Amino acid sequence: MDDRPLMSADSVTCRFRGTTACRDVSLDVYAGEVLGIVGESGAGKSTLLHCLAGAVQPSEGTVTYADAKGHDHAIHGLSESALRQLSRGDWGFVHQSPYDGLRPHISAGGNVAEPLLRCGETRYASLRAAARHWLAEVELDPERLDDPVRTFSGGMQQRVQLARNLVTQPRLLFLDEPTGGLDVSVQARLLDLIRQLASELEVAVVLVTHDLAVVRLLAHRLAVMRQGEVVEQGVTDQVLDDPQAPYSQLLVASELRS
Amino acid sequence: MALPMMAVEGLHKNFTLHRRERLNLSVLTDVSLSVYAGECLALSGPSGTGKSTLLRCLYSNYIAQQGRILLRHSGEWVDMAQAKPRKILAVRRYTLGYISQFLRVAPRVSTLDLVAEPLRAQGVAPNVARSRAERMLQRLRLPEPLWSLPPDTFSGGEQQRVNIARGLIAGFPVLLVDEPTASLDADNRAAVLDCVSEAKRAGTAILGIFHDDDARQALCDRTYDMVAAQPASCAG
Repeated sequence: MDDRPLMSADSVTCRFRGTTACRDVSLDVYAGEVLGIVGESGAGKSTLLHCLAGAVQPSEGTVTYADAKGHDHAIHGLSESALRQLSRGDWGFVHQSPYDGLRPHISAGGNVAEPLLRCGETRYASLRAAARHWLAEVELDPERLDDPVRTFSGGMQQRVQLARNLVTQPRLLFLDEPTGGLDVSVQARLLDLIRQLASELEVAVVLVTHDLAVVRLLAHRLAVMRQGEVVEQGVTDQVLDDPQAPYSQLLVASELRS
Repeated sequence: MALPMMAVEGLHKNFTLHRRERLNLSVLTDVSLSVYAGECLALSGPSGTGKSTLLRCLYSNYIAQQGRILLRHSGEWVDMAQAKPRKILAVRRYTLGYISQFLRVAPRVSTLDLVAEPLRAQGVAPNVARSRAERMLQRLRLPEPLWSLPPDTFSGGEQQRVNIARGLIAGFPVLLVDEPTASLDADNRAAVLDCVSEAKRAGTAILGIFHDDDARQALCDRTYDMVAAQPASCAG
């Protein structure tokens, strides 16, 4: 475990048209670690995630990213092209809705291989091999490589989106409710895949979800959000088994257990 | 003279239930104890006297409101009651093991990989970790055909041994155990006690709850009485 965070949010506040989506949020993300962010809909989880990924400008506060060479970047001060370079090469972002992260009219293989192409890989055979490999990793039939992605079911599209984000082997992966619409068995496989990415490839993962069972298995640390604020942060099992804040206690008490 | 591995000083734990009009439940009052390398300390006392709560506090699964939990972690003392989350995770990865009564693991992962996981987390190569996991499962008498299966369909006793294998495999210097031999038959109980005794001989400091007399006699050197040690107001 490296002791320097890969990404740090320092007192981040995001306001839109009079409403405050997140308020004074500070958190750190480390290589090899899954950070879970939970809370009810409208708590500001997705806004925070988009802000960490540079897509939403904070009204106050800073987000700092340490690149592979150890240089720090205040990401909201970067030029558009510098930010694009980071988000293509170093980061992956899996959106809640597959249509936000995919091109529905091109093939599954094309969707998966495109980020590699953008990073400069032009050999057709390598692109196809990589697409095939990552489709298989997310338990999709590699024979469907050439089928347009709109012909896939929602859960399968979500897996194509994950494969598209893994193909460049990012250092930092943002996941916005990635397993929401998936069958239980596929969800388990994806959770295991994400866990392996973190532990073996030292990928840092920020996972936004409302599913406490998912964070219990996957997240090392957990932040609980309510009305835009982080009300509690800590080791995941501690936050879930001995929640301190009134809202965390309500959230945990409402969990369905098998 | 043996080295103290864990020292608990003046530990208090209460639960504030915000949804029950901030009801305050005091479970631990002024608990102090220490555990030395190579010894086993048993927590004794009837149900409801906070034995499991104490183990959970020591693992930082529960937050203690007051007191110190000092652990010797890679040559320095760490106060688990004050440690930051990342430090707690590092202590759990290298120093402190916890064998709970329940196996809570990711679905669809084979038993062998689950048992190898604590070693993998320490950076041990996959093949080495797996062969050590095989040896551990063999010693704990888990039938080989089960190794490639996830443990969710196993019997209670089999799941318990998977849990014990996960707790013992990494050779943690300090081990918390909550009824390791409950629901095991005589042969399996003997196998578990054999493995835990071996860890103790190798210098592991063990703090545990043992309702079963065989286990207590085979392992424990001292007893900490939860009722006698705490002021009367909190017992029960």
